Amino acid sequence: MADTSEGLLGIGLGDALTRRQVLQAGLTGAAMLGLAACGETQPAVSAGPDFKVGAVLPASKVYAELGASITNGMKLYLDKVGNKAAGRKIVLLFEDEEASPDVALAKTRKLVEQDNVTMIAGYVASPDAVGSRDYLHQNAIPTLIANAGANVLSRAKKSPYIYRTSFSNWQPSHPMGSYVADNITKKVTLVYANYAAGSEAAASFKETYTGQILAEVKPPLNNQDYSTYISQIRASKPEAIYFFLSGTDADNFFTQAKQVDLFANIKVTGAGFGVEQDVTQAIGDKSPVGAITGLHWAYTLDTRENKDFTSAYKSRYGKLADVFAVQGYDTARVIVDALNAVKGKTDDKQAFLKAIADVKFKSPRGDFLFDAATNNVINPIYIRELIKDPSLGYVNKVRATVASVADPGH
Amino acid sequence: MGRGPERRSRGPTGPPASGGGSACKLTAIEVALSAVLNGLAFGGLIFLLAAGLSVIFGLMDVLNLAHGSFYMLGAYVGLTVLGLTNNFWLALIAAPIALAILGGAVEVIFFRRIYQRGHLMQVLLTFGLTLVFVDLIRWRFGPQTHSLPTPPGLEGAVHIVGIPFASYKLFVILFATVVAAVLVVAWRKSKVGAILRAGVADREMLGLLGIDLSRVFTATFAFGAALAGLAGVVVGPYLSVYPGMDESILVLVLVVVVVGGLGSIEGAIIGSLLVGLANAIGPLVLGGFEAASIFAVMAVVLLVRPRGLLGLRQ
Repeated sequence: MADTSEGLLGIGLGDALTRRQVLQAGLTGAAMLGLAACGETQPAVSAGPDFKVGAVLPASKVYAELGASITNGMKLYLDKVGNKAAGRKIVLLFEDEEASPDVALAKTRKLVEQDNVTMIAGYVASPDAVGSRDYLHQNAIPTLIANAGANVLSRAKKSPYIYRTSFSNWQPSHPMGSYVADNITKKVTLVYANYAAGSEAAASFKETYTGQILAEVKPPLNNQDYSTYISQIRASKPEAIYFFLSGTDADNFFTQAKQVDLFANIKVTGAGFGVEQDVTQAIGDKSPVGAITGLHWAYTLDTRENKDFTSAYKSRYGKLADVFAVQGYDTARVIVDALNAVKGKTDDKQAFLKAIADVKFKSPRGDFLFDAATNNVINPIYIRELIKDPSLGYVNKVRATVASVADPGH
Repeated sequence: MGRGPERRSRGPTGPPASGGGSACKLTAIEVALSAVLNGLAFGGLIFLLAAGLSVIFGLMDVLNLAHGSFYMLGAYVGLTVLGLTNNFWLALIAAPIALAILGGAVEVIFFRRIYQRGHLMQVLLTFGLTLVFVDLIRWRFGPQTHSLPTPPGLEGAVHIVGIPFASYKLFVILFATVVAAVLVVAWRKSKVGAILRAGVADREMLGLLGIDLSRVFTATFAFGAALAGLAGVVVGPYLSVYPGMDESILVLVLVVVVVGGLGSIEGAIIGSLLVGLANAIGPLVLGGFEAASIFAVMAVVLLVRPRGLLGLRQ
C-alpha cells in the first residue's frame, strides 16, 4: 500500500487542509492499510449517508484512455483521504459516456434518476458535456466537468450548477500566440483537427499571434492518413507549425511526419494535449522532441504538490501521470473540499454550490481556484518543451509560466 | 518572461490569415504527386482488408463486421510478437497465421449456424463479436495506444522526383502489389480460384457438383482473416494501434467492397485504389469536406453501376 503512506505524507504536509481532515485521513488511512485499495469494505464510522457522485467518463471508444487517466486521478485522491469527507463516505458510480452525446445524456439521467446521485463529475468529450448541460442545468445538479473544453460551457451555456475543473479550449492556446510570435517565429502554419476544439484553439492562438499565418491545414477528427496534410504543410514553407491534435490523431500525425522528416527545418509548437504521455508513450522515438506547447500542467513541474502526485501515481499505477489524471485528481479534491466546507450537509444546495465555488488549493498544476464570472478554473499556463529525459523518457519541461489565465467568458 | 497575469487580457488581434494558396506552382504539383503516391500506399493497405471481406461477402453472403476486429487483433498479435522478439518480419508472419486459426475457429463455431438466417441476424452476431473482441483487447492490453516500430532499413524517406516519400510506404505499395498479383493469379488460374468464383456465382450449384461447401467456407474465412491480420501488422508503423482502431477503417473497407463489387478480387483492387486516392486527394480538392470525397466516389459508382465496378452479382 505504498500509495496510502504516500497519501498520508501528502496530507501531513498539505497546507490548505484543516486539522479535522488530517485526523480523518489519518484514521481512515490507517484503517485502510489492511484493506483492499478500492476501500469498499470500510468500517462503518460514517456519520452521514453515503455521498454518491455519478462519474460519466469514457471507458470505451476513442477517449477510453483519457477516461482511464481521469478515473485513476480521482481514485488516487479519494483513497488519499480514505474515501470520506466530513464523515460521509464518497461513493463513485461510473458510467461509460462512450463518445456520443446521446449515450452521455442517457447515462447522466440514469445516474440522477435511478441511482440518486447528488452530483455529477466527468465528461471528456465536449459534445457529450454540451449535450448533457441542459438536463443538468434544468435539474440543478451540481456538476464538475473534468475535461470537456468547449468554450461555450464557460460562456453562453455556463450554468450556476456546472463548474469546470479542467480548462476551456481558449486557455492553453491564448498565451501561445504571443509567445510564438515573440520567441519563435513570425511565419506559422496552423494544423488543427477540424472540429470545435481545434478551431477554438486556433482562434484563440490567432488572438495574440502577431506574425504571419501562411496556411491553415485542417484534417478531420479521427483522421488516419496525414500524408496529404503533411505535404500541404511543407508546401506552405512555414518556420513553425502551431498544432491542435490529440490522442490517436497526434500519434498518427507525428509518426507520419517523422517518416518524411517534416520537422527537419520546421519547429513544432502547439497546444500541449498532443504531446502528453498518452501520445509520447505510444509513438516513442517518433515524438517531436523540442516541441513548444502550452498547457496547464507539466510532468516535470518542480513543486511539492506535483512531486507528491506524480510519485504516488507512478507507484500505484506503474506509469507516468498525464494532464488528464491531474484533472481527475483535482476534481476529486473539489468534491472533498466542498463537502468538508459544508460539514457534509448537502441538502442546502446553494450553500454546497457556494462551497464548490470557494474551493481553493495547491494543485499539482499550481494554484487551483474557480473564476466567479465563468465557473471555469483559472489556470496557470506553462510553456513547455518536450525533452527526452534519461530516466523518465519523453516529458515536458517548463520554459515559461503565464500565471492566472482565465477564460474571457464571452 | 516578465509578463503579467493574463486575466482576460485580449492580446492584439493577429493579422488575417493569408490563406493556404500561397504555395507556388511547382510545389502545388509536388503536393498533388505526393498525394497520388500516398493514396496508392493507403489504397494498398485497404486492399489487404477489402480482398478478404469482399470474397467472404460474395461467396458466403455474410456481411462480416468482425473483419475489422481481425485487423485489430492482427495488430496486437504483431505488437506482442514484436515485444517478444523485436523482429518486425516475424510479426508479419505470425499475425496472419494466428488470425487464420482464429478466423477458422470463428467460422466453425459461430458463422456456420447463421448462414440460413437473414442478414440482420448476421449483422447482430458479427457486431456483437466486434464488441467482445475490442473488450478482450482492452482487458488484456489496456486502453492506451501503441505503435509498431518501423522495420530497420525502412525508417527514413526516399526522394521520388524531389518529393520526400516515406520508405515504409513504398514498401507497403510494393507489398500490396505482390499480394494483389498473387491473389489475381490464384483467383483466375488455380483450381481453388475457380471453385471460389463458381461459388460466388452460384453456391447451390457448386454444392451439387460435389464440392464440400463447408470446407470451402471455413478455408475462405480463415484466409480472409489472415489477410486482415496481415493488414493489422502492416499498418502498425504508421497508424496507431488501439482498441477500436478497427472502426474507422472498416467503413472505408465497406466502401471499397461496394465500389469494387462483391466477390471480386479485381474489384477490390480497383475499389481500394479509388478509395485510397480519394482519401489522399480529397483534402486538396475539397478542403474541409474531405470526408465526403470517398462517399462521393461510392455514390457515383452506385448510380452508374449498382452492382459495383466488377461485381459478379448484385
